[in-house]
Amino acid sequence: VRSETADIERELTEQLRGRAESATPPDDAWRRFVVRQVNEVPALPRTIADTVTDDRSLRRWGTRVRWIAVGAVAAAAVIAVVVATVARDSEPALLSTDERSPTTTAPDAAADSPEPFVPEQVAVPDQVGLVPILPTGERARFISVAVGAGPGGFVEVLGNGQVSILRRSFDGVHWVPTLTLDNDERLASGDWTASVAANNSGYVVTGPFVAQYSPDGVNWQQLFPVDGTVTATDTEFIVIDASDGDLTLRRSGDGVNWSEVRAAAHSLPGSVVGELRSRIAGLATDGSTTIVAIANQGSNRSGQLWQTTDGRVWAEVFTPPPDPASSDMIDVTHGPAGWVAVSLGQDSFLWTSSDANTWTRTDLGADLRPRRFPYITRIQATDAAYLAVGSVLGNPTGDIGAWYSVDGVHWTLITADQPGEQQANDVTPFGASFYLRGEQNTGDHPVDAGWWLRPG
Amino acid sequence: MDEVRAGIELLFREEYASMHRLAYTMLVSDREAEEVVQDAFMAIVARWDQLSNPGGYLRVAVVNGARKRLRSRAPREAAELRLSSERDRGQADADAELLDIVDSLPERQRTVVILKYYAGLNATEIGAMLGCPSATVRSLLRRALDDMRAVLA
Repeated sequence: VRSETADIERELTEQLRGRAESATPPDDAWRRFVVRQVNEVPALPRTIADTVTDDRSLRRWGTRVRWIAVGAVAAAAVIAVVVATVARDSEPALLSTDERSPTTTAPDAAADSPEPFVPEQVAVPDQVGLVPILPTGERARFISVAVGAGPGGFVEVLGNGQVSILRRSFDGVHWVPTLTLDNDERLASGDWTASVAANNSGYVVTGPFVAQYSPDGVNWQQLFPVDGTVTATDTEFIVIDASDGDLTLRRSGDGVNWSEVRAAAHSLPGSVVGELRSRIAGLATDGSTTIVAIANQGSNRSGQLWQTTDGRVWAEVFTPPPDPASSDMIDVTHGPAGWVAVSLGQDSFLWTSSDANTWTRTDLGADLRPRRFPYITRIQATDAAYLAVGSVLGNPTGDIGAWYSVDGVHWTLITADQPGEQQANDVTPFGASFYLRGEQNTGDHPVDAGWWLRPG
Repeated sequence: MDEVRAGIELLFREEYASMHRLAYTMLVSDREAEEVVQDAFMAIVARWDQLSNPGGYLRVAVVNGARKRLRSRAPREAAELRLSSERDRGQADADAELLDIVDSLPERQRTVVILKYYAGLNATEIGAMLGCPSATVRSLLRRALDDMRAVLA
């Protein structure tokens, strides 16, 4: 199969390049672009049009169009004010265009009310197993990449590569957007995805550029530049940041006031962080030791696990074996039986350790036959159990997959009989259950998806 | 303002042709490729001052623009467009069986296949463009390759 795949990949590259070479970009593309700007961007045309210095008629025409455009803009502004006044009460405050509309925006009266979030009122299904929360059926222009549960309810991050949206839900079904971030403030960008951590002090969210804090999941405060991830204990938030090419460990008891410890220069090989394609993929703590999972995806080098107790001195503790060429570290967590980490090469593997130094590969537990491929995207733990989530490609009853274990050694694959392609992108513990968020693909369009998992 | 103008023009002259080819590879239409790339440059003009990496933003905008058009098409339209385009150019299509399959894939699978095998991006970079985890990209690629193997078998 691998040799067939390699042949197809080679042929695909050749044919796609052949197609690209047959494209015929117009010779006057720049000129057309200038004309379009003259028409559509009143603020810039003079300078841009000036570059076409040999075409006076174009500039004269551009001047006329500008006056027309000014009139049109003024008229549009009047209309916009009228429309905005009418629509003010029904429009999501932070999302002004169709492209920015999140997918699940059913009115959530509870989220807008001053009532506190009451976890006991969340309707967790009684049914044991993986229970889909019915998708809205709307196209997911934004994909759910991270979720957490805290004092203000559920908080998740949606992303589309250019824009990130933070939103809050009381029931895990209906969502209200609370903050939109784009460009260099966005929280999700492919693998540089957000992570959400929560405890009684509120929520801390990190991404590839900035960290945000909210006491209630609604009002957000930008903390500091960061390229890393966050985890939380009952009393503390911990952020590991690699934004300046070295590791910085930040701690906070309240989410607002932070201490900072930088890695000693001699404790990390320079090649570990700061490379173009290296990043902090996962983070976990047992209260005294902190472990980060570093991914090097895209390079030919495998990822690693590094550990520290003080943030100054770091030691590499594990590198997964090649699968087949290299393996990445995806996530790490600490639970009732010690540490569990996730690696991903051709497929996913779970690794356990009781002392953070010796790591053993575990059996994923399911009868994974050939052509069923496990992809684990996140792992979380409570005081009683672990849950790894992702998808199982080729599973006859749907792709959504979750692996549950109480000892970190014996794992049970739990799937849902659900048509289409699904994948969980993150999970958060909620009481004795777990709440999963991700996507479901029906035809061309991914739709929002979520699941409850109640252990048996 | 001179710097803005110079920056935009430089980016345009350096990137236009490659962006057109990328959009064409997805859309198989020179007209639509031009519109998508022009739209992307207009978006660049509107937020030039806010962009730390205009080239990266441009590529994401081109891919997103092409994806938007792909979604609005009927399923077989892309394959028909390709055939008609190649007929117009007098090209043989005997070796294009794989492209037929690519054109009939769901939009997301098609996009990741083109970004991987034409643009040469890895799963992380594709994920960054589409805003999804690399595991999603890998699974989409695997599904696409499985489909191709099955059709070619």
